Amino acid sequence: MAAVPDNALLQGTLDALVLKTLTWGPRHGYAVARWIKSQSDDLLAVEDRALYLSLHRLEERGWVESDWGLSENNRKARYYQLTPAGRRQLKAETARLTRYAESLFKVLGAPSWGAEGARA
Amino acid sequence: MKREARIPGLRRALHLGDDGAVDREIDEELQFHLDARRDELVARGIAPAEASRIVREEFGNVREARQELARVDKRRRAHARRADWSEALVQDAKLALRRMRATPGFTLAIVVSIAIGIGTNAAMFRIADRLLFEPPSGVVRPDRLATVVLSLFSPFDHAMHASTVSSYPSFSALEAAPAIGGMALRGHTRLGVALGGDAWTGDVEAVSANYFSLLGARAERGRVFSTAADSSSASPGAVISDELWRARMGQDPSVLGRVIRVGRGSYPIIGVAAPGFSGVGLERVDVWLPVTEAATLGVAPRDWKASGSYYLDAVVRLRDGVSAKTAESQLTTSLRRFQATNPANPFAGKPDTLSTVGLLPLTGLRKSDASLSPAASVARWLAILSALVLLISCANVAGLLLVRSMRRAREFALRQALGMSRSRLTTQLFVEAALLAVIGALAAMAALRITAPLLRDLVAPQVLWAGASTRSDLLLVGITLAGVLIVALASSLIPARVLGRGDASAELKPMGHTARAGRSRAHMILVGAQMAICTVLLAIAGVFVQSLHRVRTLDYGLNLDVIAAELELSQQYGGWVDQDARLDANARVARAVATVQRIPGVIAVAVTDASPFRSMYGGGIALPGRPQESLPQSKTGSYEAQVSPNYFAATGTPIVRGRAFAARDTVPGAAPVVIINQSMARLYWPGGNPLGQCAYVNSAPTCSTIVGIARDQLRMFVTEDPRLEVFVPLAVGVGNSSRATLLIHAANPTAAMPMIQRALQQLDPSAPYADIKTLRSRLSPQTQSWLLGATMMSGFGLLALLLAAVGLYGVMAYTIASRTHEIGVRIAVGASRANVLRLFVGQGLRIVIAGMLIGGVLSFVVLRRLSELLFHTAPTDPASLLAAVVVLLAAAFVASLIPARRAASIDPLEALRQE
Repeated sequence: MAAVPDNALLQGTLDALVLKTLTWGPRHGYAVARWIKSQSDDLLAVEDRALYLSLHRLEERGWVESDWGLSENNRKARYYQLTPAGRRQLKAETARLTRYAESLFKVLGAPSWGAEGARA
Repeated sequence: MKREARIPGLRRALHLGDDGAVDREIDEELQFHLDARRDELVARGIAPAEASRIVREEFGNVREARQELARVDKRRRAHARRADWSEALVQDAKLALRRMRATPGFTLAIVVSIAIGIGTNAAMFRIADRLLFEPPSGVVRPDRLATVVLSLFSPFDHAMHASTVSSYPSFSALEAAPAIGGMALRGHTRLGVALGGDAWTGDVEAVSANYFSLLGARAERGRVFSTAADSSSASPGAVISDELWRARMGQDPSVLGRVIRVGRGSYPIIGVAAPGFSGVGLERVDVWLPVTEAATLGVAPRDWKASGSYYLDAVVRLRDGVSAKTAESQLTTSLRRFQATNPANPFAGKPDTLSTVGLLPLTGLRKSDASLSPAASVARWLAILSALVLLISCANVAGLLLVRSMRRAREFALRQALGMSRSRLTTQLFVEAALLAVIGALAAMAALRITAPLLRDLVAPQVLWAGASTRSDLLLVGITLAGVLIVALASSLIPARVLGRGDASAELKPMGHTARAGRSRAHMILVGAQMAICTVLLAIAGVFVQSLHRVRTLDYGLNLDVIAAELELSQQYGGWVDQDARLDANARVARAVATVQRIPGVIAVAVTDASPFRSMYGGGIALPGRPQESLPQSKTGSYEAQVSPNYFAATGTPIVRGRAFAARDTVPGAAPVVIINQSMARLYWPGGNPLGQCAYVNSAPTCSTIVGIARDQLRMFVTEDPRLEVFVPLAVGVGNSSRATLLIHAANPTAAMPMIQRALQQLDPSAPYADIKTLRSRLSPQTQSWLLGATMMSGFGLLALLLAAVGLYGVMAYTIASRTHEIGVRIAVGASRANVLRLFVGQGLRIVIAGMLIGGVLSFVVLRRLSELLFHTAPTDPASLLAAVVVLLAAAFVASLIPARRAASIDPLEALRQE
């Protein structure tokens, strides 16, 4: 399935998703891809290429680190895991995205034009 | 595993092998993903081919992905590498600084060594560059400008003589050549200059009106000469140099319009030249005047444009796109055509096919015969030799660092055993050496602020040393950086190589000092090399000192402490047309002599028209019965001087046979007499007696009797061959020339000169009598280069000696310290203290002698090439070499004695207890 503009993800948000994926322990790139797809019910169209780019960039910034290991079926695979800096980044990014989503919903859910009192 | 490179990170820095690893790992990672997804799809029941297609679609462009990921990964690795590097460097630097603070004496010795090495080089290279390569400042496109050199055939010695100086008509003939875009003329001279209350002998250039525009030179204030304004001599103005404006006028803003007196003329100042501008040459110029003033200044005859007398040199600008060779051949053709059509002009040179015109670039300090001036030649050698001094100081620093590192040999061995690589060791040493080098360089720069101007004045005081320019700054920075790099590399690589080669396990065992024997050898080699270079430098110093001594003790034929005072009598050049003016001048000379004679301390005052070391007049004798062609020719030519009767006594010129002139010889109606010099006597009357013979002087109608033979004098140059000279007695007066020189023999010349100056100025207030000097000071520009050579080479020799002695001391001290145990054993077993002393001093001297032998051989090679700079001294002068050897041995003896004495006084029990 080609990248669909409707469900396309911004690079920054993809980074946050990947970081979240790794909070439960080291995973290889394929596992991360599979988990994101399954969690979002296949709605989040993550092009695999973009995912790997994200993983490598995260490593460049020091938020994840990688090492070679053996997969479930004894094949050599590259495993990624969060660094402490990565955990901090995930927290910050989650907060930011949440605020962003909240303000989106506030605008989209506004009852009327002059509804000043709806401000929380 | 991978081999470690000698310089850490070199392999990684050059991306050898790592890139492949990055690409491989990415391929593996992606392949894993693609395989896993495909397997999953196949497990779900999709056909393998279809599964592969889906996988590829899901993934996106694999090839592009690989490239992107590779970029990211390589970037990350590079970043990590850099971080590693800089962290390691910072660590090393901190460690090095701590070690430096811990051993301040050591550090000081190293820093001083480096400072001397780098400082000398920076100073010498800058000087050599200015004297040899730097184009004149303030000139536009100096590469298109050239000085004209005429090579003419001389019938006297059947040789070609080159000269940059020629006559106006000659140069005019050359100007028409199509390759030339413009020609400007100049005449350089030294004249009395007066400004306000100040009077001095200044450098004056009389230049053609297009001089400044041809050079593209601008004025800092006012204006420079222009063809439009200054071609006629209606009201000539003067352009002064920026240096004059600063030094003697305090940058007076109202400089324009002030009057400056040059020679016998007065000129309003119309402009100040740009800072650093000194015309086409390197020598400083105080004032520029239009060439039309040449006659007023007494530099040229009234009819200077038509006359064939030599006093100008020419600079040309080549047209764009024309090569120098083309221009030279065109100019040569023009010159030969000029000579062919002007055979009557004696100064145009013999018409023949040998005359050529050459073009010289403006760089380089030159004499009028176009060859490099001695100062420039010496400077070139000084620059080369200063590089040797740098080598010595590098060897010194390497040795000292080696000593210090050896003390930590056990620590290094331990680290190596624990896994530290040799490359880390090298980096540490390099960082330490580089830090020391930088500190040394900074110290050198600070010292240069004071020493550089002194050096410049010593090497070439007549040259204008403009302040810092971009070129000189770049040169300084470049040399300093190069120096720092050389020192750091040499001083760290040698010890690193020596230390790293050792066997770590042997080092760690007790009695590990036996493993250090091999390292001591490297140390010895370093010291030996220093000694060799030192020998060369001392030998060079020796021959130069010898040269200078010969110059100083040369028999000039007259007393150099005689004061010469130039009287400028007339505005006419060459010959008296107006007899009244001549009588008046005679009277003025007589008054001058009488006044000076009255000054206390003056013993005798003589007059001559041919000023010693300044001017000569051609003239000879004809002998009755001996046709001119039958007389033997002299290569140096024949000259005549008109002198007052007391000339020989006053100047201290001995009469070797016969008598000097007496007052009665100048009485009108007296029998004409002459005195000839030894060379003339030997040449015309070999083995015979010229006294009493009859000679016609300069086609005089009556014959003069030769009454005396005078000792040969050196007339113009220290290096000249003896000339033929005939002396004619003169009643006090001017003879034929418009100048007269008083030669004053005073008891105390230094005290007498200002009094003479005042006395003469009172007699003739309109003339700035600034040219009163002893003959010795007149000579000093000539002898300066030997003085320079002797001073500088001795300085280098001493520096080298100091550095080498320190190096020797260092290695001896270390050797003894590391063999304390052995010495203890020797003494305990019965060796006397004298034995021990002899042992170590002997060792030291052995290294020195080995180095000296090598150095001696090198000296022969080097000295032979220096022979042109020496004076009457053979390059292999045995006295100088002997002196060098003695000095070096003495220094080495002392340097080894001090540590050896300490060795001899070691307490054997203490030593044995030490491991």
